[in-house]
Amino acid sequence: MKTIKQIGLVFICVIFATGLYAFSEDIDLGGENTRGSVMFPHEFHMGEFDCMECHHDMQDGENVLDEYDLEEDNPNILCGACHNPKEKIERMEAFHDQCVGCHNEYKMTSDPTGPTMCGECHILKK
Amino acid sequence: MDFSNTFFWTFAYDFIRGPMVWIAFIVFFGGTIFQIFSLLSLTKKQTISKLTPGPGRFIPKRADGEDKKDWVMWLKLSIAGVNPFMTIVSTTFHVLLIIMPIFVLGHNILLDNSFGLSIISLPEGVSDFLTIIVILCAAIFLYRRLFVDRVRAITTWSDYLFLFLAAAPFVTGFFAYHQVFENYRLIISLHILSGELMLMAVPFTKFVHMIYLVIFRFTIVSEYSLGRGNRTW
Repeated sequence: MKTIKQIGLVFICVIFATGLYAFSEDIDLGGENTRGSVMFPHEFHMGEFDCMECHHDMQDGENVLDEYDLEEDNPNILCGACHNPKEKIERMEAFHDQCVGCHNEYKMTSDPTGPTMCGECHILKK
Repeated sequence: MDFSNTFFWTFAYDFIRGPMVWIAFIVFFGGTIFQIFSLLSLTKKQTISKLTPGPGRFIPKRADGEDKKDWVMWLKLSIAGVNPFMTIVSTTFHVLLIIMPIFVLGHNILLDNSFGLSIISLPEGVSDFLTIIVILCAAIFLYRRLFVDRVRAITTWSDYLFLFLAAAPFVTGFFAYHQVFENYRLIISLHILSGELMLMAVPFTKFVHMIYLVIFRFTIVSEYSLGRGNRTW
């Protein structure tokens, strides 16, 4: 029993030391002025997917992002850090491609999938 | 039972926003080409020695004896002069009905995501306003069919059906945009479905005037033809 606890402690230390812990809130991805803000359920996605399936730093078609950079207070891991209006894929397009694209891909499988039409994500505040 | 999770409903939702869109566009464009050729085959080319303009193209002379065309009188005698209100309502309705959906932001984002086809969009507030205008115009049409005697006299049930079919995409689009109803999926599905039904109805119902107007006015001689009509029945 003692060894299991020790191993567990080591794991916890490692995870917290490297910042690889679950960011578990819904993230407000924003939305254009008249459409509602998109509340992205991050934790919900963390349960199903590997971090690097979404988080990326593409260089020559390859994801070169270091998983250990995924810390909550690291401003460089925010999507908008790269996907700004100057880039080829700006922020809104990046979100639309990644979110709706993945949801559409899962339509083709028997697995459950997420919303694909505008108002299913952009929910207006009543 | 949760309606939004039943098998039939998810299937219908995916069908309406997937294959059905392709079916609608194929029927619309295929039918349009068919109708253009069938109308042209019903008519034949004629040789025109001198084209006598019909009443719509006849411009009266000034009454004061001067040898000038009286454009004011021409306007007063035209449909626009006789019934200016309905001319404005009808023209606004028809122009917006065709132009507006092309420039709605939501449509263009879906187009961009699907085919990388990025076209210019109207600001959301403007589209919203124009949608209300279209719905108001449709409401005026409905009012006339219901309450104006001489319009009601020539109205059949199919006129209501087609007015409903033309207005439905705009009404449901308006509801979907403002998320009036709790069940967004239902409204957006009805929006897409009504648009598809309307598109498919264009070549094969009285909506065919959308296609016939263009070829009829430009190719066939009549009192309202635009340019030289060089074909006849």
